[in-house]
Amino acid sequence: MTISNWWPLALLVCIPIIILLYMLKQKAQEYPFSSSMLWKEIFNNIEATKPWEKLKKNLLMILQILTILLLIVALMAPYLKRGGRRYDNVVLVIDTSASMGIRYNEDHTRLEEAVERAVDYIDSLSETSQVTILTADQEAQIVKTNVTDKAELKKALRGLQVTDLSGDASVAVSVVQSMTSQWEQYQAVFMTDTSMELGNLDAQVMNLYTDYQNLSMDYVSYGTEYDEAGNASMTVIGKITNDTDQDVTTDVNLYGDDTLLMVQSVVIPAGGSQTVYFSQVNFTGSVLMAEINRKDDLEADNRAYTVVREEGQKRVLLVTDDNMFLEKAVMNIPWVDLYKTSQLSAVGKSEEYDLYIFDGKLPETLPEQGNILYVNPGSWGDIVQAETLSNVSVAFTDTELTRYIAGDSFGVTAGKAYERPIWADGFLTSGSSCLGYYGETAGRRVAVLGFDIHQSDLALQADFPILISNLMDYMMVSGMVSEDYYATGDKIVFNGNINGSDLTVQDPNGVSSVLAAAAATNAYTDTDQAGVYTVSQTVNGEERQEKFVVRFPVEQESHQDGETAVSNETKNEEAQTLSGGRELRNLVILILLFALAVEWFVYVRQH
Amino acid sequence: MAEKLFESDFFVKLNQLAIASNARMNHGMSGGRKSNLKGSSVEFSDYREYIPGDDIRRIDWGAYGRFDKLYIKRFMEEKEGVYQIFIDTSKSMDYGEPKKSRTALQLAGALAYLVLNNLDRVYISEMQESSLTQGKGRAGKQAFQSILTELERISFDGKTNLNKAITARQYQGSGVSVIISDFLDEKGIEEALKYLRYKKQEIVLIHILARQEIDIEGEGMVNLLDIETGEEVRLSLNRSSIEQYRKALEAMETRMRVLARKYELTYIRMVADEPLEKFLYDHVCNQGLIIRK
Repeated sequence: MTISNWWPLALLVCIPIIILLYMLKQKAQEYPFSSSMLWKEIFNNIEATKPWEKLKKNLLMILQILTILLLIVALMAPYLKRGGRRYDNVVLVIDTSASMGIRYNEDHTRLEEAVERAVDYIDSLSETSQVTILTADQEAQIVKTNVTDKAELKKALRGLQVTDLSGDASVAVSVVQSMTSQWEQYQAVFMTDTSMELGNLDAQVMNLYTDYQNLSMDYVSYGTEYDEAGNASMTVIGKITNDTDQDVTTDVNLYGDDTLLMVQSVVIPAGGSQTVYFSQVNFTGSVLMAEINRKDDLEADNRAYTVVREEGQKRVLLVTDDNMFLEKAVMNIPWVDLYKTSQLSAVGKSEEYDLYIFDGKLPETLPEQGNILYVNPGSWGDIVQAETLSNVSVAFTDTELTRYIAGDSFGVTAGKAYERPIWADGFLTSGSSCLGYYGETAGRRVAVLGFDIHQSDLALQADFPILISNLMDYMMVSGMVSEDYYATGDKIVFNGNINGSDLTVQDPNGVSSVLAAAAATNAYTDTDQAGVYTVSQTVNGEERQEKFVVRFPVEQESHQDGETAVSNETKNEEAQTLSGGRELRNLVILILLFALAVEWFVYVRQH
Repeated sequence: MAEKLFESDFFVKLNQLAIASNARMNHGMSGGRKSNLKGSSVEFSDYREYIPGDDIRRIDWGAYGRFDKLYIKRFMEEKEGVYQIFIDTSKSMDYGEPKKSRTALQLAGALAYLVLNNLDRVYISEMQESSLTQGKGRAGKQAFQSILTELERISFDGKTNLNKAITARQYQGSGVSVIISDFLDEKGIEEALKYLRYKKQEIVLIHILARQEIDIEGEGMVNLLDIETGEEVRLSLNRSSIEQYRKALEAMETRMRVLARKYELTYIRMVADEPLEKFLYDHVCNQGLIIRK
């Protein structure tokens, strides 16, 4: 047993005071009487039963001393330890990743079960135990720090919600390690549904993994085909995985903008996956959702979304005198319609293009809209030439423009190095010189190649068409959203028009966030929830709105492997119970109240 | 005793009472009491009605034949009855409100008055420590004043030893011994009773207690001071101890009643604050010591 407070021992001084008061009180008064004969008879009887009679005589004093002692003990807050450990400092880490939403039993999900066990454990702690609560999914977050108020702790625990994020409690190990390094004695408990490595950390893992029955809608996608008459035909496909031990037949509902479009029945083999097809889908809206029409142990992964984008070719204007390499490379991209001119005066006069390629030429004014690719420009506007290079080897750095070709190099007989603007990233280097960069500025995407393709051997390499394809992919994005799909927890940077209003992002719950229009300064991180998000911006009085999907992490959270989720250590039954202790103060107070009642009773009887 | 023992009208009430005793007198002077002795001059004193207890050999059957009633022919010489009134004059009697001592003296005076009215002789004796101070034997109504004076002079002091005090005296002939005391003597009184019975005394014990000795008041730790011995007993006055005292007092009275049965004597308990005439009428009459005229 441990004692929380030692100061109440100072109240022991009250006991000799009580004894002294009784001794003073017992100063006898003179009582003249005719004869002491009969009194001596009864006095002898009292003497004969001396111990009991003396006790009865001083029973009130004894009861009052007992009351003081019980009060002192109650104030000292005694605590009965279990397991021989002191728990002055306790750290609870609760896994709130998506898999904790899987049903644990008929009453609780895994998270709810973890919360209830944590609440029970907190009730068993002493009043002076300081508790820290963290949640863990993709990263660790501190919920409460060094709190002794049990009501506050329990309220915080009951307020925890499962997220759609992937991850587990292991992300909190380093945080807990640094936290506990300052304490001599502590208990750390991780409540999760997967095995985890604790390293050097002395902690207990409470594994809440249980076998479960689940179907997951892994993804949904669509394709559009055009017949000879140019009529579009949409096909929607979805993939379903069966994490049960039996073959399952289920209906899959296809919704378009919340309207039910089609229903398909599908048979998914036990432990396997199946693709469901929806053909001839007549839909012209923006969001498709496929949903498994069946209840299981994890319902958050029973639906998947996709956003239908506007179809159509991209228009590219090549402003060049002659560049067959570039022309051929761009024309090979099927969704690009290439237009060529040698007249700068034609730029921005009548038609608009998605991309302008200025090959060795610089316009007087840039078109109002459209992205720009400069090939071998001199200093102009933001483009600042730093030096001229001759006969250098140029390498591709690792960027999104250099997918599949990063690290490769080629020779340039004459090239230009530039001062890279603050909004740009370099993707071509020669030593410390930057011969190519890309980025977003003034509401458009810009890329610069610092050499004439004819004066390099790049066009002779397989890297050239790949580079052009990557460039086209990057440059052809005309919307605010770069990708169609994101994963929960992803950080999203939007391509807002810098001349427009701030961006407004609305999550699936309808909660809005406002971000700056400049891509360099906006980063949306509230992607904890799977579903369809909307980003909007007002440009020149016209509102532009785009949707994007944040996907549920089915691979990490829906398809748990039971063998690896539960290690041999955590299968031990004893590891599933938390050893706390028992606060004895309330018991002592009950005894104290009983003693007071007895004292009152004795006092009334005597008087 | 400085104050007067009796109110003036008290004796008016007493005149309605008379001593009643079946004691056989074989000693003493001539008095109003019949003696069963055959004296040298037998005087025929007429018949008297038969009273239960009389010797049936003395029934006059001739008178019975004539009157159809039982009569005894008396040829006996008349003898006076002798009454010993023993008063416990120890300090313990000087306790209470009203004091037991005053009540004892009043009682002794009342009894002496009745005895003298009955033409019997009375001796007032003071018992103190181990000694007995016996006053002069007095008879005749005119002796009452001197008895009263004697009573008024009695002081209460010293310790109690009833056995030694009573057995210190020799008694001649039968009589009635009335012992007025609180009987708070650790040695008891049985030895004295045996002695008096041996001396053919008809014994009456009048046990006087003060109200304050029966209804104990007070609580808490007390130094109980014995006013007779000066002894101190430190005890806690509470419900329990008072209850135990009460039981001890009852036990004491029970012992007295047992003695009364054993020695065929009369035992009467009196509370000092009880009106004397009421006591005489209600208790003493009931015990047969006195009768109403």
